[in-house]
Amino acid sequence: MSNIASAPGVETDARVESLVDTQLVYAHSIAALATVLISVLFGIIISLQFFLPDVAGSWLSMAWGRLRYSHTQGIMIGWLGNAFLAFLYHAVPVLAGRRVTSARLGRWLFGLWNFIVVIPGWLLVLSGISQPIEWAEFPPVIDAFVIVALVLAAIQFLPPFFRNGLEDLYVSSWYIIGSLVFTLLAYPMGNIMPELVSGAESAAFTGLWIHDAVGLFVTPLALAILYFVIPATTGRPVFSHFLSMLGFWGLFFLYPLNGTHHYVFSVIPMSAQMGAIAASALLGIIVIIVVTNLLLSARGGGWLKGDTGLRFAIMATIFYLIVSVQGALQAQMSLNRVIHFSDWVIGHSHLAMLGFATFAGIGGIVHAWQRIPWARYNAPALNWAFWLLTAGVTIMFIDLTLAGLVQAARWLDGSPWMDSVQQARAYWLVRTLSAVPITAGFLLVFYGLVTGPRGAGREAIEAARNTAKSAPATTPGQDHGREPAFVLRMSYRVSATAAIVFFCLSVFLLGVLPGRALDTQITDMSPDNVYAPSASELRGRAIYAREGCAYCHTQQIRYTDADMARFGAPTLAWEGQFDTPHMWGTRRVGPDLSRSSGTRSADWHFAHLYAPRDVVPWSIMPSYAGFFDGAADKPTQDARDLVAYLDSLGRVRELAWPDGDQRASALYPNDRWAQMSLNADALNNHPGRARITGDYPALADNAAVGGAQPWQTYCAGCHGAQGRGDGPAAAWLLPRPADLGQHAYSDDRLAQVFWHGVAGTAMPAWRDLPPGQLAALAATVQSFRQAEPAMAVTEEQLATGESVYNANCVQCHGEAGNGQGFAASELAMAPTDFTRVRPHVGHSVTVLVNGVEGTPMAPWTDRLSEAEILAVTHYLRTFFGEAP
Amino acid sequence: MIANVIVVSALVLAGLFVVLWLFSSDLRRRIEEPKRHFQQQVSAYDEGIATNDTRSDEKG
Repeated sequence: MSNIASAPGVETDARVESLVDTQLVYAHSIAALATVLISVLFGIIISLQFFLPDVAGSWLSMAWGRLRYSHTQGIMIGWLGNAFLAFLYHAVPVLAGRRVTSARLGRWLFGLWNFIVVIPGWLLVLSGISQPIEWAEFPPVIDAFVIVALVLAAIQFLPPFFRNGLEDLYVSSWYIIGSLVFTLLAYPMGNIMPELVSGAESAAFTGLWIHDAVGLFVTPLALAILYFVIPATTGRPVFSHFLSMLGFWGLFFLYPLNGTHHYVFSVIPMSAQMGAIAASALLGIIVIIVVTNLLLSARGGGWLKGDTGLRFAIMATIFYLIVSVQGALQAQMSLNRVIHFSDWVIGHSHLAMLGFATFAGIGGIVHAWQRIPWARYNAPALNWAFWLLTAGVTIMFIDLTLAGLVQAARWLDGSPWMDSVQQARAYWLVRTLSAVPITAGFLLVFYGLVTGPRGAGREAIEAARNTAKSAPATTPGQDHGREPAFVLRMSYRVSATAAIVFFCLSVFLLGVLPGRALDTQITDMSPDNVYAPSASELRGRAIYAREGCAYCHTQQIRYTDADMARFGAPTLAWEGQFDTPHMWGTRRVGPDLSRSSGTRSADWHFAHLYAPRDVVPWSIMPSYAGFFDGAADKPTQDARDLVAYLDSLGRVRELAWPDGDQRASALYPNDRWAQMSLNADALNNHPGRARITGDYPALADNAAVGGAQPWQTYCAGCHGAQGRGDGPAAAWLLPRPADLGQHAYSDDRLAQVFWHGVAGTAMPAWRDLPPGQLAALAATVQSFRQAEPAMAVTEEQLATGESVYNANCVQCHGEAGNGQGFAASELAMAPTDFTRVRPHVGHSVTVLVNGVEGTPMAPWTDRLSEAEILAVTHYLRTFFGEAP
Repeated sequence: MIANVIVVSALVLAGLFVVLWLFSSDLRRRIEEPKRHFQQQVSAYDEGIATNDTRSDEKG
């Protein structure tokens, strides 16, 4: 018999109290609340940066990515890890009727967890030493200590259970055992494997870990708390132990198999994706069984007015139902196609970690705390904490879900990327405001546990018992004979073995097997001599990883119409063969960067990194001014490396395309997904990528109303508010942005520039803007043109100008002045087409005298006299409007 | 193929578990035993603390 009353050595009240090491419950609870407050602070700074991007200044330690890493690791390891340990020190002795293995080991584990893992992990991440793998951001050296801590936790908490028969284990015990065992298996797999393989293979293992972290570490321990706190508080047994065990085995079989659903529509073999999708659907059903059982168990507990710990536990159960059903649905391709990468997913993860797991954690802490005789307990404060946290988490979840839907709608309808950013801003503001009740709630939990009378928890226990309806009399343990116990014991053993087999199966089916298929695909499709990254690009990659860039910019174009239309051909496995670990990302705040190569000029990147809003006024990217010596045109080696890396993204495929794709297509004629990528219309569909040539649509007849707004949003950063080429970023760009007041443009030329950009300059294309908006921008540009003073031009001057032009300019600008001289095709930047652009005289003279820095146009003062310069200036103006 | 393996094996295991439960009333009773043991353990623990508190109060 395992119950406390009959367990040897625990019959007397004094021994009952000494069963639980209340000091460790206390210490881990306080550590949990301290770390959650720090983690929430990180989260608040992150959320502020969505609408106050410069709030952290140029201090790299407070940069968005590093804080984001620290936030999630702090929540999972610092907060939930400590909260679960606090609960285990109370629950394991009560469940097993025996003390944990060693009090001294407990103190070592406490020190290791907090002073070797959490605090150094944060310090390392904030100082730039991290691992760019989601939910595994602490660097490998910390991972090693986490594994040691997990081994110690297993030694501490497992032996008390194994002194009793399997058939006598209560469901909470099963969840505790399962979590300790499976986290020990999953943690090294998820934290180390992605570092050993590259690209899509690396992503496959990351996907497994993302779900295992939640499904094998967080969820089982949270459910252990719920199955403990609810019946212990109400005094009524769980509704059905059979259903609880069915749920337990179901969760442990299916959770590990969900991982790949984080990469639906990716290059990971579709068989693995479908497996994960099927497992996700099954898991949803299992969760409904678990939650139904828990809620039936809570009947009569008077939860709204009753015990605070119980209330947290029941709200955790409700959050668990919502988040799990949502998870099962969003893994399905029809919904995943729409909402993936959006803030919908961020809302989902917050509901899982801050809703379900956090409420369970607080429920467990409060329950254990009430039973520490010497601890203070402030019931009203905890009551307020419950309502504040419930309100905050609910607001945040709804808000982020709506934000995700808005973003998804903009991505699907092909709107300019910045539209999704602008339209999400209001939701991001609300999300930050939701941190107010959440932070206040956590502070009140802390306050509620350190104030109030000592031993007041005892009154709370009595009050809970009085509030709950009287429990049906429980029959003492009956011996039902050897056979059922034997059958049950054997079935649990079979199930335990099967769970381990399922975990191994998950690693094999969703990690190893897809990896082998991807290896074959890489070998088949990869060009013979792939352009390997340079030393500078590799350094840039390390910076990109360190700063968490992949957490806002994905590097995977999905096999969906929306992605192909916006970014180009979906990512193939061989493209990431040098990416160890992968940088695929799971969220898009900024656009995907898979085809970044050749999309922006280096000076644009420098200006954008140094002062993002000077280039893109509505950008919310944090400034990385720390990579510069005081100005965007003074990049440090870090900035140069980072830009070199950005310009390398997608280059290997571009170098191989289209010949390489045709060869690969012949090898996989029946692979629908490979054909989707290999036969894509364009490799790079980035709407901002400049092209030297190509067709373009004429400007629309009807300009959209409000042309000034898009001008401010898209153009003013470089060209300035009045189009004088003096925007905040202008000084850092070579060539300088055009002074639009000094030129006359034909509408045809403007249509061409809007559609193709100006290759070789920072001027991007704007193919994603609606036709009406482009027409409105054209009208704005035309309105900037300044009047020229009338100048008398003689025939003699024009003849001189023609002579000078034919002798010196025609090679590039062409006989007809259309920019199609015989040397033009050799230039990275097309020479000015004077048939469609007429510079003011003063501007042309300046160009001829000084040249144009950053272009092939050199100064001509050493070869032309002042009179000749003026003459050719007048002559080239005669081309305007002559040619189509 | 992978999806089939997952769905079939999960359903078979769950089905076996349910069938065992359906056809053995002894097993049905036995599988519910731990929840009653748990209630006793929790009650014993809580009562133990209450008794300790009372003694502390008397001493104090």
